[in-house]
Amino acid sequence: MAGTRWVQNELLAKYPKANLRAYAIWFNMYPGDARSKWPPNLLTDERVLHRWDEPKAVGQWYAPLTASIRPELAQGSQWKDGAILWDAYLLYRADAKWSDTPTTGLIRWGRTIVAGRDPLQGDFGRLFADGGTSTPR
Amino acid sequence: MKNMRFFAAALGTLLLLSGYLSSTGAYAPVATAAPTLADLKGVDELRTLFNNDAGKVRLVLLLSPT
Repeated sequence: MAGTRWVQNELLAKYPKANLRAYAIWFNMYPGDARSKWPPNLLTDERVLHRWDEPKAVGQWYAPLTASIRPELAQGSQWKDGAILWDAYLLYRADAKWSDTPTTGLIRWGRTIVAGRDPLQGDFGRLFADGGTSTPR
Repeated sequence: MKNMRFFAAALGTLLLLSGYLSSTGAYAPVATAAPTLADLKGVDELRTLFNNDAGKVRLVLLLSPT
């Protein structure tokens, strides 16, 4: 929750014109989690697409790839090769293309979002230094 | 008694002023569309969305709701 709130307040709200798309993939990880607990008021930026992933397919899909993208792991992150990647972010360049593996164009990933937030904030500052209206590469 | 009259007059003025500002839009909150949550139709849907948004920086967030 703290990480999600931070993304809204410190990234999306501070770069309102950034040429950006965010995909918020929600799934159950804690015992009390449920689709009905989704917080609609936490991540309200219109550039965010929200999806509920009941089978945790995306987290399971990313988990085995983390070994190959370890060099891009944000400093301060905590990840020990679990079966499901969650409470995490992955930031891609504007020219990134998802083919068989979404590693092309990956700038950085981090887990937890809070633990890896400083490098991510630095990336936003660099990518959107002009306010974000141009197309960063 | 004078204090009560003064308080009532001040309150009335504030209410009138807030109504005026709201009607002019000068004090209205910024309206944003409420986010919606749709079911993900597999990793392929995310892949399609991702590739359709080429040209934008993209941020994938993996989150739990509590």
